[in-house]
Amino acid sequence: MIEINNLTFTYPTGTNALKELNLKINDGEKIGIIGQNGAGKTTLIKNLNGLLKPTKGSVIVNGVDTRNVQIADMSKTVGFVFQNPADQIFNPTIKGEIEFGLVQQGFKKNEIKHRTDSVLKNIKLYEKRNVHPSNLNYSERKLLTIASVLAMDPKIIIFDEPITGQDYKGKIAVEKIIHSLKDKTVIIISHDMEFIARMVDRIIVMCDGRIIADDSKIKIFQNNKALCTAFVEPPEALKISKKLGLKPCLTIEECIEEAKKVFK
Amino acid sequence: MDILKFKNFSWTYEGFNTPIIKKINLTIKKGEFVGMIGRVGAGRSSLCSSILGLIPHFYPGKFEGNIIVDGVDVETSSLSKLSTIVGLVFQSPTNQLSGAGTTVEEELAFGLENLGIQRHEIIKRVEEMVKLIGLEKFSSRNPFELSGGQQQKVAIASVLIMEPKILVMDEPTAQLDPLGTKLVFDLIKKLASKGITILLNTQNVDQLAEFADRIIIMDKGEIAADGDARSILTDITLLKKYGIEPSQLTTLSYKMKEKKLWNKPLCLTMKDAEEMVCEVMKR
Repeated sequence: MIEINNLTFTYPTGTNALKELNLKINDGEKIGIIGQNGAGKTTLIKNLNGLLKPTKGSVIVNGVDTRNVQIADMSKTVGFVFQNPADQIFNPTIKGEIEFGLVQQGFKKNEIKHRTDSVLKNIKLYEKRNVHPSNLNYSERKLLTIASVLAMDPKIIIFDEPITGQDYKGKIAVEKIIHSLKDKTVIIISHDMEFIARMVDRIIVMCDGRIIADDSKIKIFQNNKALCTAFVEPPEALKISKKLGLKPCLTIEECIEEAKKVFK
Repeated sequence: MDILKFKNFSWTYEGFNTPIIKKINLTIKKGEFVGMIGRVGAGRSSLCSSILGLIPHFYPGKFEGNIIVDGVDVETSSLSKLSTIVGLVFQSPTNQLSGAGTTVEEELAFGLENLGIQRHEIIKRVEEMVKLIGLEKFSSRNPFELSGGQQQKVAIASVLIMEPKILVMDEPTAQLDPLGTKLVFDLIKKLASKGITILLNTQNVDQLAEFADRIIIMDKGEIAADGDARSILTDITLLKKYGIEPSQLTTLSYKMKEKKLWNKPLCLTMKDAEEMVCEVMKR
């Protein structure tokens, strides 16, 4: 469980990026964080894994206060997939990229091999395991960064804009992986509302360093005041289903099913 | 009038055996708004880099064929000459921002200063651009202290302010929120109406549906399809063949057609979808 109490974060430049946030996230929840650029979304998630420490207030992750632990220790519990794979990849081989975190966490050799082989087979890069990551295309590099986090099996996984720059095939691959994380707490930042609607159950709307709404996805996408304040548009399926007089739908698939029932 | 012409253009990066771009022949007319789509690795970003001359003047490799930009031969011209004609917006602002200025205003002025534009003209253009792209609150801040999306707005503004004849954008709004994306596209639309030629490389078919006149699909370094925006973007079979996700509205009308709820051409814009909704409701 994550408990955020009166969290305030001010950058050394004086920018007050988070203002007295209070938030509770239960184990296994699938959460989306949405809002304008500069709303504080990335600053918030960097406070969850200890990359940033609160200026005031506290962040408690599974009973541990992030102010009292090293980032390396936090990474056992909270995995962070960066937006840009180039910010995360630094090893000369694909295999080495996966192994690095496991070595740092003190896993035994055979366990490291087992986990590395397993995640590389899962993302279909096992055959290329000795290749330099720069020989992979963008989608494959993104999958590699996700796999390097999954190999450490953290309880909480944070994705910052996971489908930015992905083509259709890449998007599907990322969605499949996230959907498979059933027992994990998953937190996703994205500007793609169709993607958010498909992937999460609960949405947190941020604006100017504050949480302005926190509810189920269907309620958030019908909360016009919060969406307008954060300059967010709901998924097109919702607009169409409303125009057709159907029950509110968040995906095209739901919309078709509802339309079939009504317009036989 | 043709402003951009590729003649049998191929490009192979140094250290690679096979070309990333293979014998492309392509002509773009002045004032056209062309969208470019395709799988990751199709060669789209390389094609964008070649128009500004980063290929072959910055990246080493084997250049074959010709690229003529507004009458200038890319292979024999210099980057500085080409930069007066072509503006290239990168996907990541860290690749774009010069770091030469300590404020957003200075960053925007940097390119103009290098072109020797008069001081009063620089001040005027910077003020207008800051306002147009919604950067008023941040104009005195260091660009590197802004969020990723805000940095991208600065990066885009730093190119638009140069008023290039050809604007090439490589996934320019991938990091922007919906409002930022709308601001950028409103601005691009305004530029297009002034006769600027635009080539937009994106994965976002919804954006192209609204703005582009013509669509090019690239696949494995070749041009796989080239046609008007509506016919390409509503051809679900073609899009699927090249790994492209159709727009939400096109998908919706396609599925309604499959379920026999709709029997007319597929939707591309919200206006099409509204017409479809009105007709379905009449039944």
